[in-house]
Amino acid sequence: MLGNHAIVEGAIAAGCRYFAGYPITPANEISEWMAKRLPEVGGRFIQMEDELASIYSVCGASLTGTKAMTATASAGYNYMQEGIEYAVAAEVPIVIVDVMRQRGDNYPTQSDVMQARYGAAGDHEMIVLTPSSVQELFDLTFEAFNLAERFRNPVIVLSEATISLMHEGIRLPRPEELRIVNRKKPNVPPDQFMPFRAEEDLIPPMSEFGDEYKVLYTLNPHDESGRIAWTPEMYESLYSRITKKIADKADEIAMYDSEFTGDAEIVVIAYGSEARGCVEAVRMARKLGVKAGMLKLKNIWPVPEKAMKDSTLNAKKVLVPEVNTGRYFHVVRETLGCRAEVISVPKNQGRIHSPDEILAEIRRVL
Amino acid sequence: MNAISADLAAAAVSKQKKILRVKKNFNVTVNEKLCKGCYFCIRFCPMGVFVRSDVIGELGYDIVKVEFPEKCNGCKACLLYCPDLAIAVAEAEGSDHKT
Amino acid sequence: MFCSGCGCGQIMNALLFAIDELKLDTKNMVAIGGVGCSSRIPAYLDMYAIHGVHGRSLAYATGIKLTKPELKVVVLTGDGDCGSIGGNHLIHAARRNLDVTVIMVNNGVYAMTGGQAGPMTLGGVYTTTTPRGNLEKPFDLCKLVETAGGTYVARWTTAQPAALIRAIKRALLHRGFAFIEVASQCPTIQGRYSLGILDPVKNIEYLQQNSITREQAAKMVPEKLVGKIVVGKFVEKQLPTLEDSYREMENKIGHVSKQS
Repeated sequence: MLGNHAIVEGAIAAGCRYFAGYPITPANEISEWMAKRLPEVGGRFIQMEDELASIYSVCGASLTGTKAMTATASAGYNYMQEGIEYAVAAEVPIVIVDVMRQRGDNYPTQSDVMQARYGAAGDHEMIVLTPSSVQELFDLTFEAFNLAERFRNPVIVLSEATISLMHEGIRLPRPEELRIVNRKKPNVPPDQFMPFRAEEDLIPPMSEFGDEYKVLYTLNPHDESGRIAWTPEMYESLYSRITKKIADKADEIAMYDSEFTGDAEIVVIAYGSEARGCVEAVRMARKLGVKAGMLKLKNIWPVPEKAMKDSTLNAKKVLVPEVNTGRYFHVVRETLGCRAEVISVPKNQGRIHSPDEILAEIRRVL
Repeated sequence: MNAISADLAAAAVSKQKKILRVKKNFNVTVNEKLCKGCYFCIRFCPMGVFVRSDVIGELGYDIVKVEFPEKCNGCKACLLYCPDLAIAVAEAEGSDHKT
Repeated sequence: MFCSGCGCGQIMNALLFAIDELKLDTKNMVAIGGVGCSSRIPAYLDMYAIHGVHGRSLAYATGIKLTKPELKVVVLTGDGDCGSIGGNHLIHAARRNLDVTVIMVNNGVYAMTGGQAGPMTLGGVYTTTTPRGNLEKPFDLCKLVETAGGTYVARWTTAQPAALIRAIKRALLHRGFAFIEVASQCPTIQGRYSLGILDPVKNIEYLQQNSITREQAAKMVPEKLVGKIVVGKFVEKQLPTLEDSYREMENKIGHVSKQS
């Protein structure tokens, strides 16, 4: 199955029934497959006039209670920032697929890792998933909807031009194997309902357009009733809750695969398509007797601190290979502190590292 | 709506009332909490029911007051023009009597 | 909380009258406002509302109408919110004949931010970003929407509240893209800067005196038409809406969308 098609199938399996997009390579196949598949499952597809219209119509659709998604590439993702900010502030669950590609070009890159987290107003949390194979495109897009519904936040799936346009065999789960999460619904009558009063998990239940709850979803700072309230305390308490609801659960959200990290002295931390070569390189290194370990991150934000720390208990050096100018490296270094020497291994040529290159790097730092 | 002189309008209504031989009274109220003193009601009332008052309303504006409620003919132009939904016009109880 | 004499209050009033007279259930309505004075109206209405993003109201409306077509969507917008930053969404929503009612409050400036010129500012007038007079010409947004495919297009001013209420009622009942431009006085900003009139009554009288019908406009020479506001209903026709096309397609493939 094509990577982009796997994204669509994952979304539909999760219950996505609305998609709005704008043509951009390498995300076109997502729009095209959605245009074909959504009417077959009772959903609706529309090609909007630009990326901004796409993201805002997805927000509107989500507010009617429909699971909604858009897809774009790096250049189009730039346009969507205010829409993402709106979804954060009004706590609207949406999924955005960003198929990363180079500036003005279609070669693979991992350029958006910081923008995905710090884009929009930047001063908030974001859940960002990084699949590294067509199977993971299916699985993580499916999971993205669950996370969006649970946390009432946008979730970004960072695909890449490599895996999006790649054909690989995948296993589609049977319907009974799928665990679907839906947003919490209000359980009090309208006169008692406070649309932004959170429960213990810091997430409020969500009503939908057409029922009797009548909520104002504004970008302006608001109190628990949704009404606009421009007081310093209100702003601070609102955004502290919106960031905490995700930040507190960072370790619960964390998804990763680790190999040989128990006694590893050199740990390679990678994500996305880059991780494919690294996994192979670490296995080769082990065969040669090097105590290497691999941590493949399937979500890079919120930072999976516990996973990183647990897999580097004995590490003296940590390598962070990336297909950019070395961005997530800073995050790893900040997380691990002085525990190990964190080394950036960037390759900004539109190609991922081959296993031999990573192995050479491992041996170089030994 | 074209600008019809308030006097002409008043004369026509008054004639109409005489012909129909029905007089209705209306209760007109201005909500002091909402009025923002734009004076559209004074300008567009054909009967001259409202005047500027020297009261400062809750929002800090020089509000209007209902000076001649007996002149009201129930046209509700004041209601239609008021930007603050501050005016209420209702038929007075038991006012429907033929002369 | 509008200024004293602001047209937004009158337009909100007219909308409420229309909803009341049509006996619409506000449970099935959604109001969308962008950013600006007129976009604040949805925050005061007793219905579901979206507010706060400049110019994107029609994009939200598209997502809402395609997933829950039974909801009635009203967009409150301004001349800058709709004609400038939202211009692209305006023409495409009109082209699609999206079943939505757009009430555009036109006071010729970006009032909330202090009075900058906008796409509807008359040529030559003073605004804060055209201190030596506006060097550009304004849109005729009614003509633009008509050309783009709007199926109910009308223009009124706040000086004709009864006609405005009637127009809003027709627009709410209309199936398709309904666009009402309401020329509104803005004593605090546009009245003070562009017209040099601060008094609210004189501002609304200015609108009243400069409103003309299309028949009257047809008889006037172009020079006399500058600064006149042509009011009336310009377009009212029934054409398939966007949802109609979707439903037709879904019927053809034998699958009825759960959203229809």
